[in-house]
Amino acid sequence: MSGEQIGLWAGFVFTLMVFSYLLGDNFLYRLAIYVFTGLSAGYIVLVTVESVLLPWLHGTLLAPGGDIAGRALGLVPFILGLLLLFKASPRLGRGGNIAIAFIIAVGTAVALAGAISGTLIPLARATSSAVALDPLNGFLIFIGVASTLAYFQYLARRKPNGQIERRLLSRAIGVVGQGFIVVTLGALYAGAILTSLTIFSERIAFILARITGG
Amino acid sequence: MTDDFDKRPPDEEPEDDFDWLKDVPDDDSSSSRSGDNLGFTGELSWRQDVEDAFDDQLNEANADTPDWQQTDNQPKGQPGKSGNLGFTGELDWLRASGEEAAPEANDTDVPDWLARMDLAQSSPPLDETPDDGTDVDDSMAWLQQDDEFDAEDELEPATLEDDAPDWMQDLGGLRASDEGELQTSNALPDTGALDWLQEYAAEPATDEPEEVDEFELPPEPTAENDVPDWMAGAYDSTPAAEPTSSLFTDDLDSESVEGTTGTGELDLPPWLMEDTPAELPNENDLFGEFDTGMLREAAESEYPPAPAIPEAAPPEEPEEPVVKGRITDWLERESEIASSKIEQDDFLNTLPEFTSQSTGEFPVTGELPPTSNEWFDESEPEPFDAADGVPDWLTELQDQGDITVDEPVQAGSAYDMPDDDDLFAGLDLGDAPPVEQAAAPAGEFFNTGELRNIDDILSSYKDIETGVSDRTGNLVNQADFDMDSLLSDDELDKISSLRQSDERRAEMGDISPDAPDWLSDIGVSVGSDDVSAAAIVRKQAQNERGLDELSDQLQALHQAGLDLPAPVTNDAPDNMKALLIGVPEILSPAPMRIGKPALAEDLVLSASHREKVNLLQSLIATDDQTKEPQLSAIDVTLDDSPDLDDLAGTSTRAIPVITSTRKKRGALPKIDRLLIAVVLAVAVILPFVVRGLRIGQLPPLSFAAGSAQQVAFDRVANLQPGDTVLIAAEYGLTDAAELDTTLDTLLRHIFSRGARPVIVSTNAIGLLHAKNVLERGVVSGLDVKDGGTDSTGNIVVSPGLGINRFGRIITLGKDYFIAPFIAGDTVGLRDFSQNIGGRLATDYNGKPTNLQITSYNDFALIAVIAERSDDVRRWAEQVAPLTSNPLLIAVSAAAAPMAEPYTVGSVNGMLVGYKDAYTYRAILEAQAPLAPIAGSTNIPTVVPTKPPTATAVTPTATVTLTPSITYTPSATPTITRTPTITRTPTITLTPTVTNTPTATATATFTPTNIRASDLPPTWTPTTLPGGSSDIGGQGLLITGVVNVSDAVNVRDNPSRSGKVIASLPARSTVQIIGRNEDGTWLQIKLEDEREGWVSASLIRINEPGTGTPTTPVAYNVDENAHVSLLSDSNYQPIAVNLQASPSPSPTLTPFIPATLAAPAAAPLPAQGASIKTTPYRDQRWYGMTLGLLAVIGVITLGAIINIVRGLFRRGRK
Repeated sequence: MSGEQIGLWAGFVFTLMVFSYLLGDNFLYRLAIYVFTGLSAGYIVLVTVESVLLPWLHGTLLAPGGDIAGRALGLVPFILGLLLLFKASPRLGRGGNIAIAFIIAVGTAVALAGAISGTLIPLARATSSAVALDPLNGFLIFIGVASTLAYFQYLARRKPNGQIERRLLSRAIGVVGQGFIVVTLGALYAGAILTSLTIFSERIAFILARITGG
Repeated sequence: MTDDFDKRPPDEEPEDDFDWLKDVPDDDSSSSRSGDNLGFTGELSWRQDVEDAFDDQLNEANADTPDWQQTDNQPKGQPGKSGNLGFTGELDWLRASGEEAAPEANDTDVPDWLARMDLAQSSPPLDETPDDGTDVDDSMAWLQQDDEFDAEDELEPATLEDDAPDWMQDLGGLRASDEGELQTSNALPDTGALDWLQEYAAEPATDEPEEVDEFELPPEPTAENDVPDWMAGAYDSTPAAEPTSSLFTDDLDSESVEGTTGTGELDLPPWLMEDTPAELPNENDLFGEFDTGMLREAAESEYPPAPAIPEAAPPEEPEEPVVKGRITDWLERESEIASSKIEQDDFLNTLPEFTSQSTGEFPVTGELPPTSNEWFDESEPEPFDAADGVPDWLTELQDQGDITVDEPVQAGSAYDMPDDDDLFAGLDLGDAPPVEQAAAPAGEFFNTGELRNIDDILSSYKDIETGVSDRTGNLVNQADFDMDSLLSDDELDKISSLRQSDERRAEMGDISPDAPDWLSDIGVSVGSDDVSAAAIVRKQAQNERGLDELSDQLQALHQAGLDLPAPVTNDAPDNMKALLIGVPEILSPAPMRIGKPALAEDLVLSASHREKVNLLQSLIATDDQTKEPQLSAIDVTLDDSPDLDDLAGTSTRAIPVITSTRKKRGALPKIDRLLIAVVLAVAVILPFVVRGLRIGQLPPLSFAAGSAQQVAFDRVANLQPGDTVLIAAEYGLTDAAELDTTLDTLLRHIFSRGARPVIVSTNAIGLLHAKNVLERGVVSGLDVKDGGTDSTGNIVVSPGLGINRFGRIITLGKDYFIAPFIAGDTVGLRDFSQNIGGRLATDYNGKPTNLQITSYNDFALIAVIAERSDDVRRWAEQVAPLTSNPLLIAVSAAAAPMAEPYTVGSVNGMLVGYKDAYTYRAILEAQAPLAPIAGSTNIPTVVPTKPPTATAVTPTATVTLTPSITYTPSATPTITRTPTITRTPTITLTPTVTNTPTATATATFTPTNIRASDLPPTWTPTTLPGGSSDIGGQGLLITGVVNVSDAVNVRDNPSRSGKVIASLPARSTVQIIGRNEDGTWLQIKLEDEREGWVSASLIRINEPGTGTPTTPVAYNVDENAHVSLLSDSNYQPIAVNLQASPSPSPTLTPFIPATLAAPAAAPLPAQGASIKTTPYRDQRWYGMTLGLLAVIGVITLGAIINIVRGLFRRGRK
């Protein structure tokens, strides 16, 4: 039996082991999960080391003919990574906050810039242009966007008796937005079911192919 | 619901609790713990120890309690006294700390009407002279009264000063007036007065007649003079219908009580008038279940000398109900108002105005007179809810003075009653008559401190009830002893509604923002000093709030309860036997159970009872599945007494862990879940094996024009050889089953266009998986090293080398690239975007790629295959703004809804899930085998030439005329003149037809196959059977091959509903004579000249003119050959392999289809070995379809079941 055949049969067995969860949490299911998790973790570590760390190391610190500045720059990620390891120690854990802060700050900045240029502006533009291209769909899109945004606004006025109440119009629009949200969530749920069935059918086909030799 | 837990067995006399009824000073110093009064509280004697152990802790807790609440003049050791608790029904920690509580009365904390009640005996060290008049310092003396009640002093007429309210004076008069009739309970006139008041006057006659003699009968109360209107009204009242008696009537179900409020005609002080009906209820239900603490203490303390009678007239009854306030606020406000208006000495006028809205806020205007029946918010735990009538336990205990325990046991009783001596062996009844038996010594039973189980007490009711009679000799209403009253549907509904109503809960919790914590917690108590099961139920139901919201005292109590040790054993019969001699043997046959289920297990319950108990347990019990097993208050109540050493942490005994008898749900698979899984699995699997269940339509074979899918296809189709395509494989193993087909198809299409994919990913696993898909799927099997097979005939696979189906050598680093893993998600992708050239300089192995990429614009196409919408968003945000190239995204069905918005704008083209992948692949499969890439090697190059042009040849005839005349003269005079003319024309007509084509018919191959929609709408089919090539004058001959491994049906019309008229075997050739409008069905002609319709998806159309070569053997069917893009399922194409013999001729028979725009050519067979096909492609779709139907069915069925169950449950309620 070739290595490829072994791999196929291993996939067959592991598929059945995962399916055994239908009978409840059991050893086989856990074993399969542990194997997958362990393999994934191990592989990611190797890939990270080989594809990220070592190239960076060779390109900066160990670069032939590199200058001091380049080497120092190459040292920064390793220092930050080392500080992260301090998080394991309660006493030294604060040192890792620097790296965490750096990651969060950079990540937030990048995500924010990307969200504006990649999501907000294009979607707003598409929403506005959709009205002109297809009036009906554009109108629906506009209503959906506006009412959904209205649903998530919590501004209200305080009545003389102290009660806080939203205006009737605001509440009505919010209800419409809520309806759009419900439809969206329903679509997400349906999509999740369809994906699950797709994966399940593929696994069934795989198992039958193994059984029938196909 | 009545507090059955608060009931005392009729055979046990709660001496300590009812000495106020008997006016007997409690000098039983031996039973000095609060647990001694557990008889009707469901409290256990061990609690005494617990309380003592908590003293230190509780002392601190008491610091938060108002001083007047902490006032306790009880001598240490007096049992059952809760004078320190006032009427609050405070929890036992208060009672346990009674002796430590400073008995300091604070007039600022006490309503002035209480402060003015100068109770002579309120503070023993003080002057007990009733003439002291009002002393605000001793304002709560009557609440603090100890058991050393001096009846003589108390009953001095002088104690009823003018400053005492009329009703208070009447109370004294009532006792005095009845002194001659106190020997029998029924001696009291049926005036409709409060029974406990009657009893109050009657009881001393039993035990201390000499004190009763001290009473003087006051004048008959008149409403005009001294008797308040409310009292007069009480006299005039007639018994009303039984009021609502409910556990939560007062504090939970105010609406239900609202309608039962009295008319307000009486001038009863509002705190007593609350809900007082115009007609007094019967004596058993007069007080129902209201909080008994204050009344009890008041009774125990005897009524103090009343302060000056308020001069103000009773408030007028408002016409409309006013909003009620909460008692908590009322108390505070009353204290303030009392302080400010103490000079007026008119408590009626100083009482606040309550509103009916229990919002916790109410104005105290002072302008509106207090309404007698609407003083209190009915949702409050009303300690003075006289409208509820005499509480059951009170009635019961009153009647215990008449208990005749020698009542014979009814025949046929479920249990054999033992002899009285056995049954009440611990009661020391002596020879006293039954009344005295029950009254005097019963306290010993409870003072033994060994009472263990309330269930036995409850169970005893069933057996002893026959011996319980009221003072009239009639049997006491046994309904009060029934568990049904405790577990009635109404009450449980209220509990459930309470739990489920956040609004209600919030309302209850919102007593007043200014109320002290301890007052907020009053609402969870039932009795003044009872920790009964009902109290806990109420507490649990009402206090479902965060622990941190509780007061310090309650938190301390809670913590102490949690620290209680677990029971040692689940069976404590010995203890019970020692405690109740002879009793356990005759009680419930169920064994004593320790722990949470004990409430359900120890009682002999019917199924309905058990269901109710389960509901109660759900209300009371903590979640033992998620928390460490801890004893709740109910557990403690039902449990053994704790080991104080454990509490102190000094015990060496291991604390056992409670083992729940409830089955762990995780132990066995859930049947419903398993059943649903089985149904879905069967629905998906069956179409694989049962042809009849393959329902539904397969995905279309082409995309709709203008759709996002068609846009995606076109974008790939427009790739030019040498283009570089960026493929982002952003999915892992989870969605590989769905997206692998998409990736495989896209790569095949890209390779077929001669483009070069560059695969990147921010998912390390996804990158590895994409590499495998490409090398082991797309290009594997075709990469034949050295052009052949090995010695065994197997295909030698060498990824990246050899000739593949794409007509060229696919080599890593040349034809495709695997980029390094992009770490860092969004940030990493941003870095990749900023430095794309450097990141693509090397591949994942570190080898140089030699790609000349400097920006995203250098890619002809960017495709993102993602399993999550976040991945799409990431690429749309970080990459799309940096390039003018549109993105092509392919996502799973789950991610489609959230990813679809990105298809507008900069993203063009979208493929969703398996459905679009199926169609995409079908389009590729329908195309002709791929055209070779120009410049590729090892591929026979076919040079397209000009299509052959047929030149019409006109036959020409050459006629040659050759005349021949011969003249011969003669000399003989004989002249014979015979002219002879021979005319022999010779005409040779030799037509010479030279049909010489002037061009060589060399087909121009286009990488397109003939689809059904490409066929002309109509054409004249050839009439020549067998595919004769001589079709020039006959019409167009188009043939096809059954392109599936199974036989296909021929129907009489182009639809699946058509009748099957014939069957075509697999891979058979059939003549096509037409098609339907959209090209999904082909009309064919069978060999028997019949005509029918076959689905176009099952027929592979041969190129017109090539289907009937004169030498058809030039092509044969090679099942292993794979020239199309099919790689899965049994949708096995009929591939044609060029065979060695006969040799392919570059010259084809010229054929110009009449209606086709361009001359077709025979496809160029690609070379290559077989590849592993993914089977069951169509079956997968059918399985998904049926599975989807099953999912819909399951969801619908579940919804229906829930609806029906809800309706059924509602109807049952």
